[in-house]
Amino acid sequence: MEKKITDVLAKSELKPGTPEDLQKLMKDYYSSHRSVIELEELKLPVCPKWVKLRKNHSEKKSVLMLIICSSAVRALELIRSMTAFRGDSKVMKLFAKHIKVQEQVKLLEKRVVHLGVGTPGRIKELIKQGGLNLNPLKFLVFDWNWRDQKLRRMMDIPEINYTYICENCAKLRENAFNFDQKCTCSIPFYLQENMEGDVYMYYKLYGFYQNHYRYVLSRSNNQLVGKDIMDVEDCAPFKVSQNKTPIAPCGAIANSMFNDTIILSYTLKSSVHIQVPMLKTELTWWTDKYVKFQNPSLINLSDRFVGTEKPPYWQAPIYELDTSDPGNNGFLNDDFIVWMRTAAFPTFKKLYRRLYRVQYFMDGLPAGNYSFNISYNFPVTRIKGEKSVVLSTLTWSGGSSLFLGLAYTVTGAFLWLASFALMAIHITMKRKKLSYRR
Amino acid sequence: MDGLYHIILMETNLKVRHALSVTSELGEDISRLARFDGPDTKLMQNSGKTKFKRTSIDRLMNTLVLWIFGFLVCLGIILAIGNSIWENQVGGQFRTFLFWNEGEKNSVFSGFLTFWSYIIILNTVVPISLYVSVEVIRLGHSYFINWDRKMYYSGKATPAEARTTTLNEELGQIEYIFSDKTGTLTQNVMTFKKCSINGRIYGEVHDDVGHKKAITKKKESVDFSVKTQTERTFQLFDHSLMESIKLGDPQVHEFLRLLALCHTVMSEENNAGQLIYQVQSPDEGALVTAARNFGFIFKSRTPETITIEELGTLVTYQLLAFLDFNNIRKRMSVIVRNPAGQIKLYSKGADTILFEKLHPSNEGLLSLTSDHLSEFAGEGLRTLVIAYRELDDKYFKEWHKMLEDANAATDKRDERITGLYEEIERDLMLLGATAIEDKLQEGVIETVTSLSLANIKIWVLTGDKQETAINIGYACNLLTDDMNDVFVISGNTAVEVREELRKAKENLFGQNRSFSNGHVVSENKQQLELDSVVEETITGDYALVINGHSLAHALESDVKNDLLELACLCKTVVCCRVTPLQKAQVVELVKKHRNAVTLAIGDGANDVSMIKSAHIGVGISGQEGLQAVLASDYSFAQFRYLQRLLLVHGRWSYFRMCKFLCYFFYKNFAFTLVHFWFGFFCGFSAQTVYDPWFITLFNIVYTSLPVLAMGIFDQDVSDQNSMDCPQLYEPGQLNQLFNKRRFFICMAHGLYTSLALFFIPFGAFYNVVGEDGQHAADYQSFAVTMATSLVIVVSVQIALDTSYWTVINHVFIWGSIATYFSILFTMHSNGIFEVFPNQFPFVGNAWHSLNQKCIWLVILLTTVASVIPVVAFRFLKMHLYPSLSDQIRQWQKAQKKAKPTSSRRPQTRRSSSRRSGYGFAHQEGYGELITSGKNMRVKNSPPTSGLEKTLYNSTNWIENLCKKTTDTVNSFSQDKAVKL
Repeated sequence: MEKKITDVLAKSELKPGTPEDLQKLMKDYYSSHRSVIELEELKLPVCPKWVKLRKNHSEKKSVLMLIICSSAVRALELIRSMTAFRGDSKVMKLFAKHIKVQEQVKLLEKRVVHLGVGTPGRIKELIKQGGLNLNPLKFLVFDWNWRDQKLRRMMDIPEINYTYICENCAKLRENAFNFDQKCTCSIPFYLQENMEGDVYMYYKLYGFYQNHYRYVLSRSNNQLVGKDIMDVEDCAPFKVSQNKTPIAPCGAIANSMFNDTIILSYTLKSSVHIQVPMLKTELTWWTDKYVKFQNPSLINLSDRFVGTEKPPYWQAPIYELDTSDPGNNGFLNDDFIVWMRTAAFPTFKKLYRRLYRVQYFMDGLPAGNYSFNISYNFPVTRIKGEKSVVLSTLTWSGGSSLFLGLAYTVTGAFLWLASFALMAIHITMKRKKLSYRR
Repeated sequence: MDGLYHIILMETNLKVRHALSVTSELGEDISRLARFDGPDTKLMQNSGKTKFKRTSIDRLMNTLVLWIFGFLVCLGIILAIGNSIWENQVGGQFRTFLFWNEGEKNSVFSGFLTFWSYIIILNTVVPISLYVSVEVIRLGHSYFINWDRKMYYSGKATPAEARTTTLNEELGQIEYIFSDKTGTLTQNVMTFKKCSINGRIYGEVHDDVGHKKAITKKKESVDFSVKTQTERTFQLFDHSLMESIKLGDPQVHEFLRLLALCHTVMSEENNAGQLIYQVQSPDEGALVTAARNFGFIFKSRTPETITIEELGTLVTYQLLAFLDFNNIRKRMSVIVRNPAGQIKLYSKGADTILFEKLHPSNEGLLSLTSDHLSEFAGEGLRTLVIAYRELDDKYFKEWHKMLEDANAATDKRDERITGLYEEIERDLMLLGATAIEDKLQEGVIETVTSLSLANIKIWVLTGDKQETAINIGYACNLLTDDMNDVFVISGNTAVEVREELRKAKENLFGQNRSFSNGHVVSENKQQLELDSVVEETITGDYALVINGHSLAHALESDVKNDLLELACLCKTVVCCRVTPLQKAQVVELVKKHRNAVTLAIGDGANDVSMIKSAHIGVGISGQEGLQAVLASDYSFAQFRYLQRLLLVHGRWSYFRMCKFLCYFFYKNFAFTLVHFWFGFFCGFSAQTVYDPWFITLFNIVYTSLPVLAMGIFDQDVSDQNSMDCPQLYEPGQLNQLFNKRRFFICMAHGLYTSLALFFIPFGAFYNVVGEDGQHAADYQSFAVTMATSLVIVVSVQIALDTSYWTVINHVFIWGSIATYFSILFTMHSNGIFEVFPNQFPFVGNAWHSLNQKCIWLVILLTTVASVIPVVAFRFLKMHLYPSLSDQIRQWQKAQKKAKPTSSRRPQTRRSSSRRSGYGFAHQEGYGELITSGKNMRVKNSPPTSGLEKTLYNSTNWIENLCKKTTDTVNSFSQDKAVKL
């Protein structure tokens, strides 16, 4: 049976490919199917007319060659590795990390650029805003086979960082006075393969110090367990509101609760979008929901919170977190409880929704076109953080943890090596001893 | 008068408590006696200051704790700077979520606060509970010493006793032992062993072939029970002497008669009618007792007569003159008239002196006896030569008159008397020689051999004479004939001493130089290296013998270093005639300049200052009062227990303490440094990694007992093997098991463990999701994972470190883990949360986290990753560079099935060598006491003795006493001068 190139690539070591590699591969695997002339063409330089094209290119707001890769880091790496190829042509980095869209548009207007290297999000945004004219584009290169640290290729990233994709919203939120303005943002994406089984949706925050000492302390377990609503003793600096009424729930943790709403919709046919059904219950530990967090009383929740005020950053009071389900309202709200269990590290991901496996989604998420419709409320840019949304399935030991697998492999290999080496030493020493005794 | 008698008896061993009864009798002389009371007594003058003793590990520990404190401050500063930077870069923005309107706080102030927070959080790196644990371990070791049955002396029902509980591990580091002689090395019991009469040796045991045979208990001893008045304890294993007596050999009779007559012993009958001898020196007692057992019983004496029972008949001899012993004469004589009217001079003394005084006709017998003497000396016996002379009545009268004149003379009296003595003690007829054994304590030779194999240098400090000391040195194998040289320093002035020391040093270096330059030597050395495992200490054996007078000069500052250098190059040092204070000074000298751990062992009050000033003082109990024991740190009944105390208890203590310290520092570092790493991920906000309850309980409840059990019970090799292989002692002397280097290794080990402990869970938690899809990377789960990993890693590590498993070790280690989990689940339970919701916010955490497979995978990986390198390292070390204890441990394991072989120390007595070890241990002046009759009880005093004579003699005695007093004063002032 003949191997496919993808198989070979999947097995080969992770390193940047060279034109020679490609030629060799083509020769090895396709020489029987191709004509002599086709094979001769392989010996030509990678891009035969590049120098000529480069000289003739004089249009602004456009590039000759567009290289699309998965991340900013990868883009920089690619730019570094093609120094010889690019010669004196102008290169522009087209990703979100270093510069704002508007500024990039202006830059593109000023200069003649031959090569563009960037991430899909930013490139899409540029095209949308008319910053990039695709007419002079001669080559489009996809950095297809490169895998990042999590072994994901460009096209199968289930995590979508929407901090900068929804840039206008981010900007709006940077100003605290705009807290009552709504801002939504839609991110379409393509799911390559079916996600089978239970699918979980997480939100992930970067650079949010939920483990900061004073932050962790700033809560009142007494209040959260429903014992004494007015106990705000440990909640500094969010103990009482400006008019001295105690805050419920008090403290920095509660105040900073993640309040984006994320809705996943599936494009069934070209124009039919349906909302993927999601569950917002059973996101928490049993003990949290039934022991650690208790409402003062289930009936007339709003009456129980009389004399308290909502946290300053909240849009609605605690008893309006989920008015549709009384078991998920007040302190018992799953999203609230999930948020209140503080993360160990500044980069963390928290469970947001579970897939409700009905109808089309009986077996999980089918491959296809989806989009996230996000109501963007949580102001991460204010703390120079980022946020993203993650879709994931589970393995036998929970979420796929690449680190553990790698660490186990490395440790295991090391152990094997060490035990062989030690065994060898042991045997030689024993022999030596025996001969010495004789 | 009674009081006066008292002091006469006490004259040679003046005791303060008796002085009071005398003073009233002395009248005007009271001031002289009163001068030496209170703080001026010998005891007080010689007692050194009591110092607070601490072990070197204690001192090292204090330094290390200071270092750790410095390290803590460094960590605090790093984290504080980190916090300032973080607040500046990130925290400013994060204040949106943390502060309402507190924007005015600046980052430097925040860093300052963080510094103090981190000092508090990281304070567990400073091992405060270490001191308590160390004391508990030492207490345990002390009890082991107290309970050791092998150090219990059933003869006196005295167990060994650790009187100080804080010095145990230093017992494993001793480099110098300073030992007293009498009562410590020897029993201070003399026994008559052999004699040579008229060229024939009696007292040796021959088997059929005629070879000498070791005396064993099985051999039937001569039965003296036929005789009345014999002493039970006396044993001699040769029947030939009895036969010679029965046959009536006149030489033998004369020999025994001499022994019964020529001495200073007083006799007394006790209530049961048995004869009791009051002896001034045990040697004499041994001789008189020997004579008594052979039928020549000394019965009683008056100032003018001596009554003995010769083979059943009472004979009274008239004592005409008593030629007393002194150090220069090295002999004593009596002149007696027997009932037949013959006047005879009986003399006994050192061979070197008496041989010169012999009549020329004795030539043949002299050479024969001389050979015998060499043989006796070779066996470590103390010898005396016995001779007599028959005197002409007329000649004696003339001589006696001259003696009386000389006694009455005012000037040059001593010289004249000495001259007279010389004159009459000549042309002696040789009778033979006696050999007395100064009985060593049981097992002294084995102990000394084994301790010197352990590379411990033994110095003997004794108040005895040089000859006695050297003799005992040879008897204990401290001095051997294999030694390249024995330097004797006996100069009387500073210049002489310096010259002698210099000469000895030149000699030593000269020999060594030629030794190392020579071609032959290189081969020798190779051979030595081959044998070095068995006998490491045989390279260039030298010994130094120095006496008290010389020592006084040698301890002066400019000669001190010469002395020290020379002494430390020597394998054995014997200091004789030293005062108690000098003993202490010698110890101080070594302690101060060699930086070595010293041990002093002694039994009497004169050893107290030495015991106090050495690092460790050991008292032999039950011999000479309680003074030494009271001042000592350890006490037991027999010198031989020293071997067990050092090689077993000391070594184990040191080994355990070092292991304990290593582990303790490791544990604290692994436990605490995790906070430091976490600081980089929590904005340096002084967030702890663990649950506060865990931090509180970790050192006290979860990990204290297993390490304590190891510190108390661990042993690398069995006690028998540590006794059999004294070389095992060496790591302690070289301070190898715990020093600054070791500390840094422990620290690095702790650091590595903390890295593995933190970064493996960190990597795993970075992207982890629980089995039910819920996030598992929350702070509390992380805390529980870390804490569980830590407890398991630390328990596995202690299990690896423990080399001797007892039930207690098992109980403590498994118990600690079980306690951890039970406390964990209790504190994370619903019930306790409902009561104290603010104190126990970890509700349900243990259950949820520890239910996750990935958490256990993390714990397993962490444990393996932090333990495996240590295991591999130890495995390699044991295979590539095994220490002696490793080898013995392997051997021990292999031998466990087979019966242990018996100990393998061959006992070889060295061949004969010629030494003058004459058996006089007493002081001069006794003859005079006897002839004066002052030391006899009133009832014994002869009715014939004239009052005038008594008076004359008594004034004579007083004069003598005064002379001696000034001597003592001189020696005291000398002591004081040295002290100053």
